[in-house]
Amino acid sequence: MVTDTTTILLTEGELRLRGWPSDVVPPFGLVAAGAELRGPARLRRRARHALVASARPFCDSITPSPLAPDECPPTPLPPPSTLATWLASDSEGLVAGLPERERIDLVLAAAHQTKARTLLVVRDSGAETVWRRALRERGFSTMTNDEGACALAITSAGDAAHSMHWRAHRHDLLVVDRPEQMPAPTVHAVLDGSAALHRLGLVDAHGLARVGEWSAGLGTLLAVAAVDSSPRRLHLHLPLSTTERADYETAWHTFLCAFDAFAAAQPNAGFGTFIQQARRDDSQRPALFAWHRALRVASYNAAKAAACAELIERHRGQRLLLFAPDRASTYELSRAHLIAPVTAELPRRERTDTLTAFATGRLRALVGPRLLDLGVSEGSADVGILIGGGFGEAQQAARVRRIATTGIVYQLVAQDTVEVGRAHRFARTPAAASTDVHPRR
Amino acid sequence: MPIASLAPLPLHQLTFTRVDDELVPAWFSDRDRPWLRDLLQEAQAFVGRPVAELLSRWRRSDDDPRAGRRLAPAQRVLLQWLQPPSSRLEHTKMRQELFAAAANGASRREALATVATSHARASDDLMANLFADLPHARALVWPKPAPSPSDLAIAINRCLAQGMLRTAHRAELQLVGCARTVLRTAWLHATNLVVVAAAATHVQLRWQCPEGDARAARRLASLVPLLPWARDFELRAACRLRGTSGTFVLTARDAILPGPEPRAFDSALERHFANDFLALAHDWELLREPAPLVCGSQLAFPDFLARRRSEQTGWWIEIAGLRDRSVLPNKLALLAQEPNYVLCLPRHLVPTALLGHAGIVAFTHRVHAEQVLARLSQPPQRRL
Repeated sequence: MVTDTTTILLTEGELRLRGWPSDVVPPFGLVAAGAELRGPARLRRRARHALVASARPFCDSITPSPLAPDECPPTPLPPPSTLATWLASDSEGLVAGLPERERIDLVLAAAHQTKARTLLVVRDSGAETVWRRALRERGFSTMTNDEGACALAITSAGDAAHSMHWRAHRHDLLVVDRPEQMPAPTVHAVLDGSAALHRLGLVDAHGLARVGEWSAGLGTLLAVAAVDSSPRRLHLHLPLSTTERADYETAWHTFLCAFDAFAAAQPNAGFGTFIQQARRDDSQRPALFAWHRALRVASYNAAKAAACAELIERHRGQRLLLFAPDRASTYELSRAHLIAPVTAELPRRERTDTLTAFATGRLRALVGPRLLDLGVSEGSADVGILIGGGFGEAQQAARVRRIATTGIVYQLVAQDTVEVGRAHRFARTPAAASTDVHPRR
Repeated sequence: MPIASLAPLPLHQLTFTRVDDELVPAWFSDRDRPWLRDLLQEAQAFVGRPVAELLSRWRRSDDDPRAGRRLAPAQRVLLQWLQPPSSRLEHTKMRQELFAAAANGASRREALATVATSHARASDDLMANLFADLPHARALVWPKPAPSPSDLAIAINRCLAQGMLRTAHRAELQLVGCARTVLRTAWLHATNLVVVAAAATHVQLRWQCPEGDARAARRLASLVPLLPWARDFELRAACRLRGTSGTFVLTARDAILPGPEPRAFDSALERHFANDFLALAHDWELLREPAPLVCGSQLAFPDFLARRRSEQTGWWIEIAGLRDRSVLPNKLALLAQEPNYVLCLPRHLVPTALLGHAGIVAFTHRVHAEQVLARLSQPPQRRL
């Protein structure tokens, strides 16, 4: 009996299967289009498994060339404990809570074991800088070989989502670092667009609640590492000035009037729904602006500026990271204290040079909004100052991890504002102490 | 910012519809002029003030109902047009030196004084302009000549076309005129345009995105400002964007802002000849840089194609001042290959054996159009 060979192809980023056996159930998600089955590239793995299980021959045209011996990354010794678990689950799965050093070990070990060309997807250029530096220190280069195929390519999530249609068949190991910090549509575009057979997700402990979102693309949760001890944390409650208080209360009142009406009309709708509606509704939009105004006043004000000045002076000479709420406060602090800023607006080369200078000790302090969250290595600073703003528990945990366990994190909280509740809600561990502070002006 | 430097629109701001297999952009047209005029007036009030203030104003104001989703791309293009070029390198250097000096223990006054002196600035000026090169701090400048709503509309169209082309993976370009300029620019940008077919008046070019080259399509898009300078063109590109595939077609009839004017003539010789010929030969048309000729393994670009208005075939005319005499053999090879080829050479450089050749017009200081016209009036014959 002649058995037709199934051909697996990738065309313009879409998986296509020709000659699928009629008596084999195709993986869910493939649709018939003429004589072919078509679907997202991620289904390549499932399709191969189905064909192997039914002992049907197939020709996979997508397979990238394996790593040559001189391209293989050095494997750390001893190998990470989570490696065996990952290999045992058919080289697919999520690992949560690993510290930075162990993440790097696991990625290198996975690439070494599978001999697969690897695509590492990170949140932003700051995280990319950290990974490149860490891999260089391990003696592993991320340069391309002569054929133009990279042994280990690193790219940001946005770039990966946009370019996956041509990247899809150039790697067979997909690693996504901290998907909980990336926009959900971007993560899904990356996971669906990649045809990699081997998949590894590295999640922070705060991302556990969302593990189910990524199971189709990255597999199941395999291991949760215990969280190391955290640095000492101190909440400083700072008062608003009279003018700032008046501004805040006025803005808050405007916001609450609209939000209360919204909540009464739609009791089951969340804050996100209010934001979406308010953007389009002329009558509600002032409330949205008022909300932002209130947050702005609370996140950076005269008392916080004075507190920052005192803390910078107190910890002069130590490695210091200031996590500012936005660009304006970043530049203000940078001017006031001659501390190098790191913002997305600065030229990329300048940003990379600044982060490298901090890593090598030529600079002792940095100030910035989001890029610092992942743009410096874990435990690379002695003092962290969380000035205000922020997008949730995961981000705050990422910021705290930049500080060494022997260091200290100050969280500046504006008294009697929305920040008080947020600070307690977002903190993973209770602050060692919180105190009302009246800084010298 | 010079209009040559307007960047393509990003993916999420491309507005188009899919009709059969064609991706039709939502071109800006005369119907957009009213709200574009208001947009320009609003921006003009912020001249001299930081960009961030105008952005803040736009964020807070109600969307113009006439604009809809097209407002964001219009604002983006207008902002690019109104920002002056930045002195980024100098500012980066200033910042790096200043923060390094502070990290090394210098006091604030010392660090500022040292860096300010090395950049020939006052300390106050240095601090005030520390971030002046960044987008949020740059002051808006009203360009000269002042842009009109129509100018803005066709500028946006160009950025829209370039944005669409950035998603292309293959393309075909049919070009009438301006072939040498386009091919030379493509070569300079490492855009892999291949000549597929060349007729007397037009040339057909093909482009295929090289495997794994993420920037190839951007380089293709950078040719768009040149295309309106051709007499006619049609560009068909297979694009893939936002989950949709289709063909994007750009022709000379689409209103896009032309880029800076390429040089009309390479020399005064050519310019004088063109003026004289057109004044003399009323029933002839003269096409500049028509199409390349294949000569062996190379392409040759005659300067003109001349033909009677009622005829399909014409004559290639090459005016060679021969600053580089090593190219003479190539030109003579072309003369031997093409029966409809007229080569104008300086009299003292014509090889003795070719004096009196039917295809060669010798000149001293100026190419005489009546001599060339006399040659064109003769029937073509195989020479050499």
